[in-house]
Amino acid sequence: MAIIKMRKFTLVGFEDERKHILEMLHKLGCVQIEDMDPLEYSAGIIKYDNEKRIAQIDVFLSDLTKAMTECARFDKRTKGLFKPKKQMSEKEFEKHVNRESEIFDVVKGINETVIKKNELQEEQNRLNNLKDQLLPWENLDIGLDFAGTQYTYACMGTVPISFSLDSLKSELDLEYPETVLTLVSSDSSFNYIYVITYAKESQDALKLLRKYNFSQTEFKNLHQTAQAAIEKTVDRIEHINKQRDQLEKGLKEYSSHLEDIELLYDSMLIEKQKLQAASMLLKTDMTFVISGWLPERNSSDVSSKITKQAGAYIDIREPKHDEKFPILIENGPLVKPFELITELFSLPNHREFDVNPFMAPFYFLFFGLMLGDAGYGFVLALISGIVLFKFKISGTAKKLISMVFFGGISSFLWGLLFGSWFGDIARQVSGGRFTIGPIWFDPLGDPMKLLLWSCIFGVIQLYTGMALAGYKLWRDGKKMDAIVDVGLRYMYYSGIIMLLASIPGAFYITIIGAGGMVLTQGRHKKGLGKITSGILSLYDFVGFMSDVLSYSRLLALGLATAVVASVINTMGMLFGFNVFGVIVFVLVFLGGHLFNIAISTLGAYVHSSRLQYVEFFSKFYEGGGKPYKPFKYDTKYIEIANGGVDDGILD
Amino acid sequence: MEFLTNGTFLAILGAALAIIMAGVGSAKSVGLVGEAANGVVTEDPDKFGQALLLEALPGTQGIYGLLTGFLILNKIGIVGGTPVELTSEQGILFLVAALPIAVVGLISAQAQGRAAAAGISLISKRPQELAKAITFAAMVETYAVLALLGSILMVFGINI
Repeated sequence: MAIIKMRKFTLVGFEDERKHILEMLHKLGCVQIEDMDPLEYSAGIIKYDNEKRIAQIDVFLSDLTKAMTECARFDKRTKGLFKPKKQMSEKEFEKHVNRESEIFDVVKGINETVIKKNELQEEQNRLNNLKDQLLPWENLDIGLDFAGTQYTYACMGTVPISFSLDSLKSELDLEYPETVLTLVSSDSSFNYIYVITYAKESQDALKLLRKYNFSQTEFKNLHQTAQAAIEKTVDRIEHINKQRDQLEKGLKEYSSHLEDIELLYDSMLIEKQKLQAASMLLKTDMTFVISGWLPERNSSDVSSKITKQAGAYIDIREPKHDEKFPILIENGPLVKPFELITELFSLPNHREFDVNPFMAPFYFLFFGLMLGDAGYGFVLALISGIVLFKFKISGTAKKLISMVFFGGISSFLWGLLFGSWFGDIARQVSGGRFTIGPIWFDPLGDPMKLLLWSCIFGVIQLYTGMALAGYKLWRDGKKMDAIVDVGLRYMYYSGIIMLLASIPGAFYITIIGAGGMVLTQGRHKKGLGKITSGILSLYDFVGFMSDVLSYSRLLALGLATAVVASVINTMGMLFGFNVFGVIVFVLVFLGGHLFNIAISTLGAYVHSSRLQYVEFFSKFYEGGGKPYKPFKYDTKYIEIANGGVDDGILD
Repeated sequence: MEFLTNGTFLAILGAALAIIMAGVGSAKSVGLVGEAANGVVTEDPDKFGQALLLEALPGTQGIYGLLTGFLILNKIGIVGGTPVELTSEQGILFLVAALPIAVVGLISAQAQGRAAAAGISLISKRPQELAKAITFAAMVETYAVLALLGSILMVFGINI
């Protein structure tokens, strides 16, 4: 229901008990440790230097992640979006952790296998290239590195197909008649030729060949014929394939250890957290000191455990005036999901109250109104309800899904009031003979009425915001400010609204409010400013009206959902009642409405949030609180049941 | 040029303008955000969901345009009813009623697209601040919503 009261603690203990005490605090899981600055203390008080070890753990963690991603494709365990973490008792967990070196061997094995696999892959690519280069020379029965004899010169190479081989031949015959040119093979772009000439003529012959874009091909270190070389390469590729299969099998075997690796990952993560905690405290040769925050309700428990089980001194005190403590908010199950909206904006600061109980009802109403369809609401509530019921989710995901659940219920209720079920599905399908009537009224038939109501809802929320602003002033002892700034505005705004609705007596209320504002709103100014600021404050009504009109989006988005739904229904009914028509209808109905639910829910979420952030919060809310982050088991894969410790804050 | 005074033609022209202009605006800006999103997802494929959310935001103008167009077509009986004979005056009224969402939809979609694309670069560095990126982009949408409201009220208000 509120922001949980926090207490500041300072713990002094003996250095040789430090590890033990940190472990205790870690298991208790309810204290937030603050970073202490040694410069604020006398010389000789220093910090722990854990950075090297933390960096080392980071390297281990990244090794583990690498190994896990490599093995992930063999993972046969069921996977799902909301798969809960595996639960494990502390003892079990520690037993596994004792097998650390064994698991590290597995990880090393995996990572080495992967490196080997990559090397083989590279070699295979290289061999494939070589094979492709050799293939055109397959029919050449001369060793590939044969370069001629004492009096002859031999070379191989390519001539682009665009140059005529015949004219090359005839030119060669003419100039160097002793030269032999053999066409080995040709493909779509090259003729592959083998040339033997007199050694002393070779340079000139090559010059002539180059006129035909001849480019020499050389295979160094290949003594055998092309055919033999190809056979050898193919053999080697096959061999590599076998090796790779072997390695793949090895990886698959390793992947049965995935769970062990996950355990190791979590245990390294925990060790890192402990080291990070240790690096925040201060020490002398013999003693150390930790300070931080803990919830008031846990303070006696923590203090008795620390003093009993360790020879340490702990001091717990209330926060000093205006001392910033971390914010932990707790609410009942109806309000809790909506905390998400505030968390995404900014947590209340240490001077404020929890805004969620005031915000949640409006969010609930507005979200539903913007969807405004009973069918859509039912689908949303059903899906999110199943997810909540079937999967053990926690934290932010749980809040989000529960919020959608409540939003679905709200939309269902508004849909009943407006008579909207998947738009106007009943009327469309029955050809107008049958309609589900609204309990209240149909916004499509009378949009002005809903526009008016949207504005009324807006006024109610804005008035609530002003009341909260007044409460804050009152609480801080500025009672006069609360009456003058909020009370007079209430009169002034309400007076004008009543004037618009021609309610008798409205004129006098407006005048009193307005007059009061003119007289008081310049009270902090000097001289002429007192009057001008007072008069200018009357313009606040313009801002108020623009805030109110901003709530017209309630109508606009509600209508948008309804009209798009009826567009979908109309399209679905285009082909009438026959086999083809029914098939089209079912497809359009499913696809169209699913699309509309998705896009309208996004719109409802975005615009309800905006109304809270921009219109409501701006009236009174400061925010800027830092969230409470207890030092506890914060793991990725395994949930460690905290046997024996109080139920505390574990969320 | 007689069709220029044909009421039904003018009304359909209005509906077409609403759908075309708002749709063009949305298409351009969803594309713009999509380009930015591809960049972020290249670095971190896990950001797909967040990026998609931001990409969807400037897409609503197109829906608003279609919605207004549909309302007009529905009212003059082209869709789901019997076509009504419109006077030129009524036709012009429908054309004018379509203008707010057509023009504001076109421009606000592009402005929102730029805001959302900037939001993509925000979540590339601070994924936990998605809500703020969404809120910034949603501020622009206000004016599309207001224009939609204006168009809808006008269409509802025309007597035929």
